[in-house]
Amino acid sequence: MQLTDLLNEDHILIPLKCKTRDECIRTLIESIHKEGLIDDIEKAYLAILEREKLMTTGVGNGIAIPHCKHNSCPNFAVAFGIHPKGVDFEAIDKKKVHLIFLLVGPENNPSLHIKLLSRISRLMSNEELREQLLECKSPREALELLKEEEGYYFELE
Amino acid sequence: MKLIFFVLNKEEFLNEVLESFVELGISGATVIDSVGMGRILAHDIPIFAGFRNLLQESRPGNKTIFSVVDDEKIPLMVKTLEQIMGDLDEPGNGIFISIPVDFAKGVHQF
Repeated sequence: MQLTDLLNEDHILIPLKCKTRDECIRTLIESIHKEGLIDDIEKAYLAILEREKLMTTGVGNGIAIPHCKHNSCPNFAVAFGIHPKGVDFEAIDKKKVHLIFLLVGPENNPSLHIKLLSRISRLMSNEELREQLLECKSPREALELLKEEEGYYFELE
Repeated sequence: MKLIFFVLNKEEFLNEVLESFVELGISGATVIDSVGMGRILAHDIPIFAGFRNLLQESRPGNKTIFSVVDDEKIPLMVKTLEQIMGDLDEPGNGIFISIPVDFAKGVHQF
């Protein structure tokens, strides 16, 4: 499987206009919840915030990858948002975050969870892709870009 | 199973390399700070100082990663490493070696 198999246009939010980190997380997780992929949105939301307390998922270069593995999330699901103005995630490089990937999944498959996190991180290490994503005006455009780039990567097992 | 060694000259790719290992299902590896022979010859042994331009190793150090992996993962590992840092046949990118393992204990999956 590929990371982008878990993304669809309904999970891609452009632009995100939320003022805070928590609002961004809430908005992104709601986009997944609308499709019935999460059993209990409140528990999932709190699990993501709990994970943020451990250490910020603002990994630098304007990227954040909030995530949780929790029994309220029986399915792996990904949402992606672009915040043109930037939002404070207390990122490790102190910069505002513009690209946010939210990943949720069950507790019983940490192997796939860590593979998906690595895939997101590796995709986002591509500076050109980051710049192109920031120029995207529609979810379709962003999804096509991500699929095209991930096409060069191997399938996750 | 194979014991793999990867000498990573461009340390700035270390995170990406380890992330790709995770994606491949490689649950553990050991990373060692290392120095290439060329660097030592050119900088620490005076007689070779005049050959600095011939000795490719201009970087102060590199990383050596080793791990025990399933045989079938090797081709995809090499392909992925080359996607990250370029053709390993080009000087300065890195060296990948695999050796058959006849016994291993303590190698765990995620």
